[in-house]
Amino acid sequence: MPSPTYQLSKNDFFNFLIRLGKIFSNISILSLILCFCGVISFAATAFILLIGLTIILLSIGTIFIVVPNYFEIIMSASQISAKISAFFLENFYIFVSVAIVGSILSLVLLLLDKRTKHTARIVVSSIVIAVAIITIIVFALGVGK
Amino acid sequence: MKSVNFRLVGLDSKIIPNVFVDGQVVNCKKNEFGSYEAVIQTEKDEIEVAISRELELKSKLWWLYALVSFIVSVFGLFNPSYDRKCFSIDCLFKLKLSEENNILKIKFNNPSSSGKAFTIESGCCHEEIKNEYIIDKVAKRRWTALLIIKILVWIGLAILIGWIIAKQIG
Repeated sequence: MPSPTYQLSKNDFFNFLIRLGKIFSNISILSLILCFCGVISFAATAFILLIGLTIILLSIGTIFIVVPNYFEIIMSASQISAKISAFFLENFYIFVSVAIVGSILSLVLLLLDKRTKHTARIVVSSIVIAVAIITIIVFALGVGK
Repeated sequence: MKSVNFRLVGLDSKIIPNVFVDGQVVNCKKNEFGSYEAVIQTEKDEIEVAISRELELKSKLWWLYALVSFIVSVFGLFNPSYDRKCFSIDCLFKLKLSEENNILKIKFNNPSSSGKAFTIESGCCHEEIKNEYIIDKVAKRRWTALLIIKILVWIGLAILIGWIIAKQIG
């Protein structure tokens, strides 16, 4: 029979592994969100342009009298948004890899805990892996091109 | 051979208990209702049960675990927080085993520095020796030290990032 000190040290080590599992789970969730930022930023760019054009149409062009550099402002705002989306799209595979690796590590570490069941975290990590794989397939099929 | 079915109910979700029977660690499993369960077998007629709390900041290598967690979690950004209150359980009681199969239900109260930590529901005769929640001063001191270090590192990082940005622009 293992000594109480050894058993307690073992428990402490397992608690540390569970902590690491939770950290990796948190990292993977944020990485997955960052994966979508590229697509979301594209939507933001389109939204800015749409609002800008709607204002031009509704004001029947009088907006250019009130704000002479209106078009430049709209274009610069959409350019900033486009730059942000370009950054996220360029680094898409890095973010998605971090999300998948983080989720797998978190799953392995949380499943090691035999005393407590981390059902919620395990479900979330599994969903992150599934969503990340689907995103890679969609991205590889041409969305990111 | 006598068996004892342990059930620890009402424990705060953050608290992981350490159960010792006659100085030996008993491995408890958490069930779907959040209670901890264990079964032990003994030849004795009387057993001494001690329950304490597993505090991460009380472990032998706490500084190493905290350091690795801090680095891996990107300077504590993704690190789940350590328990701030640092409540520990100080429970010790003797239990006389009268039957072959004994059921022991230990019902815990909410952590507070005053009042009893638990009540025993069992058909067996028991004698309470210690029964209280205590604030673990060592863990509390370590928690404060970690917080100060975290704040200092973040201030240092903010200065470093600001300096890098200023250098890039300038």
